[in-house]
Amino acid sequence: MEHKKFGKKVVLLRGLLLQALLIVLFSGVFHVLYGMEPEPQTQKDLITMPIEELMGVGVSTVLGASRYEQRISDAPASISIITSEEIKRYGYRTMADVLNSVRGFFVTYDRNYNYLGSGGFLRQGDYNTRMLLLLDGHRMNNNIYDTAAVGNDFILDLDLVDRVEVIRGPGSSLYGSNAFFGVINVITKGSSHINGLEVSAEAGSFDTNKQRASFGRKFGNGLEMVLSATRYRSKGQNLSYKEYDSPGTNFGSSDNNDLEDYSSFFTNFKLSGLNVQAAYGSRKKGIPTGAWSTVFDDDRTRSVDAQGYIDVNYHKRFENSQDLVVRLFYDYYRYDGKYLLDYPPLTMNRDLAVGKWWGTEAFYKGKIGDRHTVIAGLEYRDNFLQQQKNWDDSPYANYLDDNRASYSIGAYAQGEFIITDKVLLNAGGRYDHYKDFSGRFNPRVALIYTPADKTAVKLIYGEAYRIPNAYELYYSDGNVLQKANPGLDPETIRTYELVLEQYVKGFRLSLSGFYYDVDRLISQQTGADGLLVFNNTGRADGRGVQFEIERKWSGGISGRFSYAFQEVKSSADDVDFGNFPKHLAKLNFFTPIISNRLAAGIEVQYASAQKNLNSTYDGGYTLVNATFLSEKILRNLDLSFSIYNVLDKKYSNPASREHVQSDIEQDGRTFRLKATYRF
Amino acid sequence: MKRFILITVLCGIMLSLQILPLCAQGREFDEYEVKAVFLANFFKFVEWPTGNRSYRLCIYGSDPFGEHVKILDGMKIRGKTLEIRRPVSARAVNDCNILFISSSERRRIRALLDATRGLNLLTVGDTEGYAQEGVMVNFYIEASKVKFEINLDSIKRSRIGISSQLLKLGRMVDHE
Repeated sequence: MEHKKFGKKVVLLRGLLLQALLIVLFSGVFHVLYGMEPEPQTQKDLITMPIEELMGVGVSTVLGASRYEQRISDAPASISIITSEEIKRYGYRTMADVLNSVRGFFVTYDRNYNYLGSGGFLRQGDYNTRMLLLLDGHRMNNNIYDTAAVGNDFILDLDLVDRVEVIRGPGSSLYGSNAFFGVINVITKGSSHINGLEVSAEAGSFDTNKQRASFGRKFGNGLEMVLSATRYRSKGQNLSYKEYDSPGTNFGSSDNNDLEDYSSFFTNFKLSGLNVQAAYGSRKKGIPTGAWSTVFDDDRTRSVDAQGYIDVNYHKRFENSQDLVVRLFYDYYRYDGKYLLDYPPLTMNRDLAVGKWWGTEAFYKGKIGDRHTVIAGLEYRDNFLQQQKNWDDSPYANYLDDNRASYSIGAYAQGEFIITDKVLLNAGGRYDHYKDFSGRFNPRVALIYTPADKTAVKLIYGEAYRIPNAYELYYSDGNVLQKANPGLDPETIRTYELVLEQYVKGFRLSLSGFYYDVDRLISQQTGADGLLVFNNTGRADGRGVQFEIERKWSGGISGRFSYAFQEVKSSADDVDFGNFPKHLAKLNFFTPIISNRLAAGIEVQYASAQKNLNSTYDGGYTLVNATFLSEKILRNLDLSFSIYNVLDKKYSNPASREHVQSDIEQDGRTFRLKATYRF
Repeated sequence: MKRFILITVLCGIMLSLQILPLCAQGREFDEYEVKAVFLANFFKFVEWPTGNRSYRLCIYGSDPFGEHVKILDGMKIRGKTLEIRRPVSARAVNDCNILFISSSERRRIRALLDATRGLNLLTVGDTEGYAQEGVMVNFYIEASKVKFEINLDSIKRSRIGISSQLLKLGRMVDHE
């Protein structure tokens, strides 16, 4: 059986490699037939450009660090930007792929969801609650689990992403709850970026396929429009888990349970300051791991997450560089979980969570004395539905029917003060009041010193907090596995960071060190009664250093290398937190192969061992991903072929408490072929 | 192992085929790389009443361009050689064609503009509020792209001419 599979794999591989070779040959032929203008890479290329095109050249700025566009060197945080170019070059499929390439970030997968950690911090049982995810400034963390969805459950097709801003450090001074370790601001492509009709098709390992159609246009009257729809299907893998290796559980084989389907829709209209955006996504995932004591190897156990929103904002620009933005939004989230349990008899246990909320926001930006930039804002959010249910289908038994509503009010202000030509002070804070919790003020102060041209030193202090979410507070499955804890307090963090950014002779260098101190940390524990419960578990402190070097050479070659060391300890007993490697090293390298017809993006990622819940270690590993890319191979056709985990490295990441397994094996070598055509 | 060799060999062949190291795609630039190229471009769209043998681009105040203007020095534009100057006082700007005023001059901008009035030079800046103060062309950044605003009143008051092609690309501001 195993042998047969192996043989099939080789045949498949050969076929795909042959395909890659053909792509190379064709690209050469088409290069001769249709020689096209290369896109700019060095400043020399810019000089030969018409001025109209020069106006479309991208420069490095960040929007999410201060809620207005500023230079990365002026921003009060350590920042990474991933552009749509990099998404193509390295064959990224999900936000998880994007974030795994970012300095100091670490994303794991348990075949149900992706878990995102940064700064050494990734807690089991946590659905990315400590990272704020924004889509064009719209908050994406839902109001039940606080989830920042970064897998295929992310609402937007990655092909529609223009850039991802990763803003490290506490962001509660601008955004309130959840901006604990950082803010990820995803900026979508504008109508001119898509410009017409574009269709894309992908095929990958394990019967995975994806189709997308997008349309973008700017009309003569100034109306800009983007419309896009995506559909994804994957049969998934047949997996095996040694923990279930017994006759009653198919000897540990979980076959046909790894399926994943999603569809998503996105639209955006802009007309003179008015911006209307709507998105919806729904994703179904089989759970092949037997998590939550479900019947192993049965495809009826699955989770479905759906999310949607409408965001209307109006941007008005006044004289003296003053801006006013007002925003009104409505959000919807629904989780539908089916867990097949064997009490006995076999019973379908259902989990349903529905969140609905609306909110409004006003934001003002202005100047003091021509020099200093100030912003101020007000935000109101009304979580008018936070519903969690749990029941057995038949015989019917109800375990949970929890209906909540809550609201929050936040007010914030920030100033960027030019002290001298070399010293910038960025100081701000936000006061939030959440229903049932006392109010809290979170400040952030950054001193940015520019001793010489192209050098910036940032000294940053910030505080952030996170309100416990409805799931942590109120969820219980009838005290079978998990119980509620309505008495939870918010968790808080204080962060100190020193950042050095330097540009020398085409190199961009970044060196940073951080220390943070978390108080009243919310952690999932197994109580004395054997039930899972969330508790405030005291203090923890983390520290780390990060280094990154980036270079763009003429000739289109670019590369980036980063190294991050981090460790987190519980302050009470000085025990290391697990689940996150102490060392992360990442290398990305992109080079043209045949003129501007074929290029390759190679990615190498190293993660050291991670401690799992058994206090043993999942071994460190090195992964290699490779993407071959041919843009405009036929006037309007782009092709790419990606190989993930090229070396077929067997590796695992720690699992959380709902699993019998202490670790979950990750994907071996997989492939993806992608074609995009523009009409 | 076989597969690995196959991949390696294939990659090797591909890399050996690298003949024309042209770029495949766009990238993000430093904003001053782009602004420097804009400045060079402006010479193509502006007419000065008095002709010189060369074009002079002057950078006034603390220089944000660094090495990014090196490439412009000695460049030929419309048959003339471009020279980069860094005048140290307002009295030394007489022979400039384009005067880039750094944001370090924020506090002295009015005095500087008064001193250059009547000199027929194109004033350019990249500081919020400069255009309203009377700087003719002022860069700003929007959606990670370099754009510029134009103070038409200031241009009309001088004797330099700007092509409509350039005017069309900029955003007009009202003089206060």
